[in-house]
Amino acid sequence: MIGFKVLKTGTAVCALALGVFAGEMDTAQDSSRQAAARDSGAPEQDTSRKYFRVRVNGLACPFCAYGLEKNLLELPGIMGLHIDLKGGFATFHVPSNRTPEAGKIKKIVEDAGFSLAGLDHSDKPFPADRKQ
Amino acid sequence: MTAAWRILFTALMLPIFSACATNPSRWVFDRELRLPGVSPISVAWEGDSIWVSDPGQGRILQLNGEGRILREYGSLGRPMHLSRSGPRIYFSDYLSDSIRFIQDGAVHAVPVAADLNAPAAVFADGGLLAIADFYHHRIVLQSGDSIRTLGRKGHGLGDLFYPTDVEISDSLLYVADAYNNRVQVFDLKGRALRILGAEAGIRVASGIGAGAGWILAADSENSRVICFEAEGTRMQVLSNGLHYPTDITVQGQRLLVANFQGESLSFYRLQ
Repeated sequence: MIGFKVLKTGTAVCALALGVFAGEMDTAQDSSRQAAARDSGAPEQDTSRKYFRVRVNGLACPFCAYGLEKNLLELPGIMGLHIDLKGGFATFHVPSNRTPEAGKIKKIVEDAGFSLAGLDHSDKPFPADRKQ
Repeated sequence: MTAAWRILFTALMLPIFSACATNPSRWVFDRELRLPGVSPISVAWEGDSIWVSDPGQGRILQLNGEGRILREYGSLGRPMHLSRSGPRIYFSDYLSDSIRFIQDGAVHAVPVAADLNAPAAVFADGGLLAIADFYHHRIVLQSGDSIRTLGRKGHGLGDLFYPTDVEISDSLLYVADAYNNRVQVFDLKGRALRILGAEAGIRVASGIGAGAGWILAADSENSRVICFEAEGTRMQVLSNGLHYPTDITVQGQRLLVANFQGESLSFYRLQ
């Protein structure tokens, strides 16, 4: 269990080290398989993604916002996580075959100390996602 | 003047002539130092240089008094509150649940024999480490191989609800009890002694500074810093030049505030 946690945290830290974010809280995760496919020039096997926007109340508090980031990074397959403190929302995407249940996202938000104001999903990126 | 009148006069004038640090001085706003692109969540002095943690960028900066970057340490996850102990700058990393310190240009890990979940702050005092364990609603005290915890999730005396900062001064441990909207005081045996600021209208206690006989609390949601004397009497409220303050530090006659949303630092001085 500890090893699993460290592995996932390490992934997040590596993503941060790559400088994926700029000014606000952005974090990107990528699977090693996708990275390997990209490096070899081969097409990614699964390019279909589901995009999410999680609207939460009271996101201005950085301690809670970074906690939400930490908890969302536990979602399997999560990529392109971006937390907008001023806008009060988080956006991310996952492979379509790993779409999380709404109840799971709600629990993550509540465990991070927030209440869920709204949850949107789409086959297209939300505005904050487009720079990813 | 009779003794009764003397007591009444003292009681009436104390809030006017006292400040957090040195009676009868008061903190007065000096200047605001803009740091575009930096969202400082914590600050620490080291002589005339200033250490700043910038979690949004995953870095810690050492600045001179004019804001010029002297050194930058990056790829640190989400570094939160800082604590200087001698030549070391301690910090907690929210993402990796770890405690580290910077010394002589290098970053070192601190082994912690406790399971942390989003450490918001660390305070180092010699061999003693106090860690605000945010999602576990507790303070972890580590001294050598010894580990103790203070507090539990709740709202009464001795309970904590999302602690964000911790400091030790004069053998007392002060906790920014963020979402209980107060500061709580413990002794080092873990006994809860008292609550400060319960009636002060604090919305989120994000950071604290403590010294001999005074405590400063950053009330970030109200964009102010509240000064208390040791027993909890509110002495002064600072708001000039503050924009969602999350940490305070004092060195001599100088007070420094981190403005997380303002992308700036604010300086006060004793007058």
